[in-house]
Amino acid sequence: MATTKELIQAYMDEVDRLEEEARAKKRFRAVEGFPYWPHQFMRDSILVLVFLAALGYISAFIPYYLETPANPSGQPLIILPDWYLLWSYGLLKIAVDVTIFGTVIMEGKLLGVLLNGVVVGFMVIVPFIARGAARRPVEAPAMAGYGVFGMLLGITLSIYSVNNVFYQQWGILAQDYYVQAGLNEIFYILQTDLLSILSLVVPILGAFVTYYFLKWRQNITTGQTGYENKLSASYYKIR
Amino acid sequence: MAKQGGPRPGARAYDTARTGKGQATGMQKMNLRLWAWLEDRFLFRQFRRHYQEFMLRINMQMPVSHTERYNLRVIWYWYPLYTLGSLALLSFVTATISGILLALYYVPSIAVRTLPPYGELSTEAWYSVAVTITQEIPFGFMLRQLHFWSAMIMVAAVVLHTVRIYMTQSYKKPREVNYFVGILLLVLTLGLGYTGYLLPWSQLSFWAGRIGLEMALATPLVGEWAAALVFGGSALGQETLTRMHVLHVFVLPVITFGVMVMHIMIVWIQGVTEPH
Ligand code: HEM
Repeated sequence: MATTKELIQAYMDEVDRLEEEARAKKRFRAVEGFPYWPHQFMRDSILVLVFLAALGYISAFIPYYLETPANPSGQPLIILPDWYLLWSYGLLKIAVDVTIFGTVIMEGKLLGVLLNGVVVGFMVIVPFIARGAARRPVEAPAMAGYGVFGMLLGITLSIYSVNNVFYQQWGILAQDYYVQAGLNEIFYILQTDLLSILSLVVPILGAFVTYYFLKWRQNITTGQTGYENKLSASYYKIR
Repeated sequence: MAKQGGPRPGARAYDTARTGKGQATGMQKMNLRLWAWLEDRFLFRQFRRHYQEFMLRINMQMPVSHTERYNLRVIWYWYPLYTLGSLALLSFVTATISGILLALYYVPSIAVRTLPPYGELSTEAWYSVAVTITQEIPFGFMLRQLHFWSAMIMVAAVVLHTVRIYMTQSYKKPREVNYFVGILLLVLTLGLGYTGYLLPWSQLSFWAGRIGLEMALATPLVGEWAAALVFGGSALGQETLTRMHVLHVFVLPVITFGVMVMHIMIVWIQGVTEPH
């Protein structure tokens, strides 16, 4: 003898079952990753409060003042774009006329503009060159090195965009050993003072340091190199 | 809700439940009929399902994300890095609100409006920022600060978001397309920053405009044309400011917003990678 509650329960279950049946006829795709709703949304709701508080605080206590009005005939000593475009200005400064055996084959200004495009190109090719299932830097030291190179280059180029300030401070940075050695007679496309050479050498060094550091980490965590490929096959299947 | 065609699932379920569970008393039948009547009208089963889903979510699903379900080590202290995209969106929203208010007072003109120490150099544009906004209107100074710092935070957030995407290799399948959409957003964000930098027509604005103009003119084939389109000719002037204004307050924000919506819709579909 069923009670009323059991009857209602059976009724509700039956309704649910019928609905499930209807739904099962459609195909559902498995979602990969951390759902935006509600997981990511929860993180974000905390962010809203922190952000609004911080923005109000910074705006009130770190005022930013306007410079004097534009004077087309009086170029100031330092002219700059905003900080996030300094790298681009640095590229313009570091590029010089491309010469091979004394013949100019491309103007420095044009090279500077093209190099900006090259930077975007370097970002676009990333998904094409990074293959495999690796996700952490330690699993893909080469890609990590590439990224560190890009980031450091952004910083050193930004520094190069205010090179005159650095030259004033440390005269040695303006020295041009390259030209002194007569190498510029053969082939050159970039500035050759010490600061500009450092701007390229530091990122390359950073890339190699990152690469070998991560390789070393791989070795001490697993005792062998290349473990990530074996690991990834099962570890990342669920993603 | 009127249901068209075929037997109502409710009616079938009602019959199954009634006949399947032994003999019901008259009272029970009446109660069940009452419940079914109410159910048909107020859809209690939906509430029940929502309630069940909610309980499931707060009891199990919230803490059990896939890293935990598959017993992976979650690097929880990396989570803040995974909110940088939202930070970019948020600062875009505050920049838009403060920007709309600033646009009510900003005058995109380089006609001379003299002001004691600067005389002929002081233009309408510079005057409207330096005097009207920062000195005359209530909270104008704060408004400008809010806009400036929102912009700074947005650019910083987008750059760091890019670094996060790169270092966690989130651009891999199935997220390649979203990575390219992201690069477009990065370029748009830098464009917003650059055009905004030029608007006050101060010393730095003018000379930064000069750099941009020279870059455009140095490009072969399309250079002249691009300079005319973006800077209004091969010299800086009123045309330049008008174009920068239109780009900064209308064209770029609208495009950026549209692309952002697309970007986040894709994230919604694909889910966010987790640090582990
Ligand atoms: C205005 C600029 C941008 C906004 C508002 C934005 C917004 C977001 C949001 C809210 C997420 C969710 C996860 C998170 O916050 O980390 C996300 C993820 C993502 N973003 Fe962005 N983003 C912007 C720019 C970029 C840029 C410049 C790139 C890359 C070049 C990019 C590539 C991606 C990718 C690949 C994901 C998926 C990441 C994952 O699943 O781990 N986004 N974006």
